[in-house]
Amino acid sequence: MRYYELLYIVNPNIEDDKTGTIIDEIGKEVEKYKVSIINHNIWGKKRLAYPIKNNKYGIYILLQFGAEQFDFLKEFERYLILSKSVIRHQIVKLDEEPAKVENVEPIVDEKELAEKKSFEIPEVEAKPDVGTEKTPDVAEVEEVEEVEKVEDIVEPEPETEEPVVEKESKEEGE
Amino acid sequence: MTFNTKKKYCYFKENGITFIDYKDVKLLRRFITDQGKIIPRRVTGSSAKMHRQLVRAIKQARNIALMPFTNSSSDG
Repeated sequence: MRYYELLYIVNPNIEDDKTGTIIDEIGKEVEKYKVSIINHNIWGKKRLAYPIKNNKYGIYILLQFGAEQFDFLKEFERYLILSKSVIRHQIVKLDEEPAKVENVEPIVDEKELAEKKSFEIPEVEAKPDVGTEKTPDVAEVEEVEEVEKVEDIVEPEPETEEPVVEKESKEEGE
Repeated sequence: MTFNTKKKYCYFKENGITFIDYKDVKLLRRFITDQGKIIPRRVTGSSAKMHRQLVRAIKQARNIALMPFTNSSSDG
C-alpha cells in the first residue's frame, strides 16, 4: 500500500453549496480506482501567494488516500486538469500512513492560522468527551424508566421485593 | 585568523524535526528572504540532509501557492 496526498485549490467564485458537490465528485473519481480515502478535508478560503488564473483567493482541499496500484495517477491527474473548478493541484507521495483527522475547522486567514493551531488540540479533545457524556445520560434515563416499570409488575409478589432492590442498585451503579 | 564567527547549528536537529512538511508554511517562512528566495545553507547552518528536504518542501509549497516565488513590491 502506498499513500498519497492531493492538495487542490478550487475556484473561489463558485457558490458555497457547490464546493460540497465538487468534493463528492472528486471523491467518487478517486474511488473508481480502488483507492481507500483516509482524509478529505476543507482548509477553507485562503489568500494565494500569487494569483492563479486571475484569482487572488482559493479554497484549499486536502485529500489523503492509500492505493494498492499506482498506475492510475496519470489518468486521475488528467481528470483534475480538465475539471474547470480545480485551478491547481499537487499530488505528493507520503512516506508513512497519514493519521485520520476529523473536525478540521476551516482556516480563513493565514494570520489566524497560527492562533488557531494552539487552540486546536484542546478543542479536539474536548469535543468527543461532550459527545460521550451526553449519550450515556439519555441511555441511563431510559434504563431507570424501564426499571420502574418492572417494579410495578413485580410489586404484587411481596416475597421477591428484596432481591429487586438489590438489582436496582446494581443497575444504577452501572 | 581572528574571525570571530559564531557557530551555527541546524535548526531542525536542535528541534528534533526529521520530516519537513510543505504544508507547514509557518516553519518554511523562516528559511526564505523577504524577496521569497531560499536562504543558503551557509547562512542558516542547517545540515545538508535537512536542507535538501527544506528546498524540496519550499518548492512544493510554491507550486500550490502557499508560498511566493517572488515577493517584489510591484505584486502588491
